[in-house]
Amino acid sequence: MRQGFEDLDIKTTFRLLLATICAAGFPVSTVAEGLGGLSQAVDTPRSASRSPEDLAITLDYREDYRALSFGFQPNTRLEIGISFPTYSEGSNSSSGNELSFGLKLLDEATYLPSLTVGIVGFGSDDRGAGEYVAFGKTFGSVSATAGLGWGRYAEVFSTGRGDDEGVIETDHLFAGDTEPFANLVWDTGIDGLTAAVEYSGIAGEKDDDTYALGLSYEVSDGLFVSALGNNQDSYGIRLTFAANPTRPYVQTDIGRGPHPFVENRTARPNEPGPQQVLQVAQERLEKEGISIRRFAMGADTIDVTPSSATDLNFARVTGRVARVLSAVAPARISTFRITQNTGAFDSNVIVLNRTGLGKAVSQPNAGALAWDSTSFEVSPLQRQAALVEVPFEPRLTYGITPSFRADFVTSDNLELTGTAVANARYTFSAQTFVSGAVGYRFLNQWSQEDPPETPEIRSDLTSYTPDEIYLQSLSVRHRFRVSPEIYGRVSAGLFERAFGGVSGELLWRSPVQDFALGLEVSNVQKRAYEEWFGFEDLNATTIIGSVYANVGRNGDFIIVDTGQYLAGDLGVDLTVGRNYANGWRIAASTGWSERSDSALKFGAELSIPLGWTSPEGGKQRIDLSVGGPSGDLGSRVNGTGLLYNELRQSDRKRIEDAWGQFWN
Amino acid sequence: MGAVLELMKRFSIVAAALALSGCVATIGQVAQTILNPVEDAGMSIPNVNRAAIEEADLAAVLILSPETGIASVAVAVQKRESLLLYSSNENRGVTMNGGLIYATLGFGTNLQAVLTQAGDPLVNDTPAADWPPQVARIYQLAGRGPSFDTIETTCENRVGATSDIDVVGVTRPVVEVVELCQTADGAAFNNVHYLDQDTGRVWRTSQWTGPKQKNVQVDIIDQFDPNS
Repeated sequence: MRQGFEDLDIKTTFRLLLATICAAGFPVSTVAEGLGGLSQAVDTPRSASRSPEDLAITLDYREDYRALSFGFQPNTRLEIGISFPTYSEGSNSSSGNELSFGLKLLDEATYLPSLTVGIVGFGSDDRGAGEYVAFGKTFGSVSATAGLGWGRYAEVFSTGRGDDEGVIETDHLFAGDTEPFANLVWDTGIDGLTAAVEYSGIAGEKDDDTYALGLSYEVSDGLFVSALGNNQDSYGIRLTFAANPTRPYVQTDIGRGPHPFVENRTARPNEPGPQQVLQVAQERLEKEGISIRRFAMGADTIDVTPSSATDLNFARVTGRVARVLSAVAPARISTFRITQNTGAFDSNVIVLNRTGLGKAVSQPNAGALAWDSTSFEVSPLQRQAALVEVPFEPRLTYGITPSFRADFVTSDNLELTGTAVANARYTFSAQTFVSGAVGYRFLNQWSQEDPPETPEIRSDLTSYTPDEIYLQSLSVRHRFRVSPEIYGRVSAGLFERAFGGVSGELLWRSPVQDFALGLEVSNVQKRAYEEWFGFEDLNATTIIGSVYANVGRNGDFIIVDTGQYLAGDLGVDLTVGRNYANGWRIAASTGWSERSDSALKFGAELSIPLGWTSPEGGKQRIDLSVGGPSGDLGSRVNGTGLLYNELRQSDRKRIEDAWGQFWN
Repeated sequence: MGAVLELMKRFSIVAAALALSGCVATIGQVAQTILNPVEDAGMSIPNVNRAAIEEADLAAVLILSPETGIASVAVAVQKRESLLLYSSNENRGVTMNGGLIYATLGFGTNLQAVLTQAGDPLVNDTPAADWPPQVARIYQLAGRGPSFDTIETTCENRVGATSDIDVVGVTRPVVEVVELCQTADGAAFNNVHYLDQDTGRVWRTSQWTGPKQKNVQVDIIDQFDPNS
């Protein structure tokens, strides 16, 4: 079946094989069930039962129903879910893209139950949308939930409960017929085995009420397999990966410890000169995996640009550099200036007051005291002369990356593609490189379509040649600084499988602000379906402004993109997420277009640092995305190299979030 | 890993037994369970050249972390008010506040600081008979942001038997004290101390240092002498 953009915007992509993720072995969280991404027994809701920061990815598979769900609990009261269900009805199927919320209004008390209110499929009354009120109580190893449901929790085929035609429909909420439900979830005490039984008043083909049973087993840390069945002859399996970014599976600090901090003392005769300071600092920092890229020493300051191949926590790197400098710097040095470099840019100067650090070390709340002795400055375009500066050496890097995409929603048989992408990059300077990627689809279960008569923006994805080596991308990119706080980029070439052209971007960011502003202008041509370098007769110009903001105190961020997108439509994209000090990143996105009367899509992204599972640390990570842009509307060109993606690790909030590791 | 799990299992079993009985006779079992991790955890204990340490007049400690299987010898490198910083060649170390493990580096999830009440018998050498019935301490661990996360604990103590123990090659006459501790959210752990029978000074101690790193054992090879 050919996908039009109306249904492509709900296509689910799953960029990394779930099994690969699960095999990596992640820590136990809670048994996190969840159709719609919210806590659930078999098919009925549970009282919100997760811990803050818990997240779960769930794949449900039954004869008449499939769903991929993403659930996250940002705090003690709120659960958020995004899911991509497909319902089979005879020879027909329908798909959805649901955003769901569960809010625990009352905590469980000694005699009183908890109270949770949930909305599944927020903003629409499509099939799958439903609301519930659930009361929960725990009795030893058994948690019991009972409540009342509307929509999907009251009928098998619930749809069209309201008249609202707005972008966000609300008049159907908690309206229409209701049915009761109840469930028990029992931790059996047998290692990793949990059982669930439930009742709901939904009538099915076999009975007027539905009774269901589920058994869940944790086969390895964080990976749960469940078998489900009910008296309506519906059976299925559920695969859940559960984790909590704040609870790493490994001890985090078992490597070499940091150098002891030495309080400054009065100047002595024969204080070391710059060369001696540099030499000792290099020797000591190398033992901790930190190299000095640039070193300058002035009358009362030392300016160091450090680099670590293994530690992605720059606050910790900064602390370790400061500890070493405290031991080797002459007494007259009062300030350590640690410059953060992203590769292309010097993004921040973290200014440390030596006396303040000396008063903070080993004290209670030493992290907060050190933060009080720290300020941020923009790196000047012209820096003081360096005693040593490691010159950039042009280099060629290359590799092969497998990637997997699966259509869990719109296909009836979980069509899967596997692609091997060989990529190479030649870097001329720290600011300029040319890169290319060649792909080959070694596994292709997608239905191949002939190219359309008129090229389309994205909905002709399956028209691209699948079974021969193709040129994924070939482009050149140059980054530069216009002023200390304005960063620039120009890119040209074949950016992605579907588009090539030219692109330019300006980004304003300040090290002392928690937001940045970007503007990208691109002019692109649709690439040929078969030839490597050909183009189709479709040209597009995008002009997209972006606001990147760090908000709150939990690593939360908001990104708003707005402007003219590839289809010439005016649109808005909204991304919200949370960054963790240990490198985890969770984000969800949606968008609107002037040509659509509903939200375009929901997507979720997850980035897991491998250091979370390995005591050796490292900067590698696993990236996983679900949903996201796939339709013609509200879509922008990929692969141009947005500057903020390079600079976001330098955000003051990122450093502040990680500052607890300063003394580690 | 299996050895660590086995150790944890034994720890849990004995802790449960303690909770049920609360009798002094069990204290010795707890101490032995906590204080003999070496064989089970498969740790490689560094050879300690006591003679060289004493010859150099260095204050030194042997640190054992059963959770991570790391053992290290560290010498005192800094004194900051009442805190004594011990550091090893790999910069692993502990900061001691008297006999209280105040901070750790390189043995798991670093302990940043321990705040304790005035008159904590671990901080001020106190003969076992004079220990107060209860001590409150606050543990600080790195969390999100500059401010450390805190875990509030309360410990009650039981005084055990006197005995002679070998502390890195030297026999010390000690009295055993076990602290039965609980965190504000209900988690339980035990500390075990061997105090000099006369002065109450700590010669060997196994103390909880956080929910993930758990107990770390410190043997005092050579005490710090402020007058030397």
